[in-house]
Amino acid sequence: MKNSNATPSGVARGAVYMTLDRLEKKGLLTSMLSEPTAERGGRATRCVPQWTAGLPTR
Amino acid sequence: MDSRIADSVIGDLEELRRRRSGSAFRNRLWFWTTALGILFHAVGRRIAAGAAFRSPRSASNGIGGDFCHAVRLLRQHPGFTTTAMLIFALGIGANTTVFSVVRAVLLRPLPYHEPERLVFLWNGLETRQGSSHGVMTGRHVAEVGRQNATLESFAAFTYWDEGSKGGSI
Repeated sequence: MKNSNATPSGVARGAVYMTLDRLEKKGLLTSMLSEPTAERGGRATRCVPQWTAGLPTR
Repeated sequence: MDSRIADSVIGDLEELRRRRSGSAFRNRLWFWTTALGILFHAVGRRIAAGAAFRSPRSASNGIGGDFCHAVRLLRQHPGFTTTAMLIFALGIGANTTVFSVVRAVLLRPLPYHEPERLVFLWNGLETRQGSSHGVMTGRHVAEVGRQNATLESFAAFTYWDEGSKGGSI
């Protein structure tokens, strides 16, 4: 996940992951996995594209 | 959260851990506490999601629903909850006591080196009436010591029943 350092204070890291997971399951965003890197212990990065505007509220 | 995403989460933590300053032990501690925090969050979320849209009647469909239904019922009946907890406490206490005694009396090995090799010898030829274990005299003991080829060491002991004869020692 990009910008994982930028978790706002007061928000649990787990809550961010869960929210992204739920949004993806609902089809509101898509994420992709990058190539694994040695810095991450041979694990891939989950990339979520940034969007400038959210969905319009009803 | 599938395994690939879980793997990427661990990768995030690993990357952050390597970037952190401070001692390796503290960084490792941070890694595990954060990972556990995320895990608890995921489990809690799953339980909450399982129970959120279920009525108590249909709560038996999932373990999360069962758990929430049980907590709800226990909160609604504090008397029953208190009684059940007291019974649990008594049961656990009684079991602990019984097993402590059983361990001390039956299960704990004898306070000797290699107690499974300990043997007891007696005189099988000269038994007293009513006893299958015959007395070994000092000469018997000395003979055992002389012919011994299997025992690492041995000791003789004696005992008496003070009460039955009414005499003093």
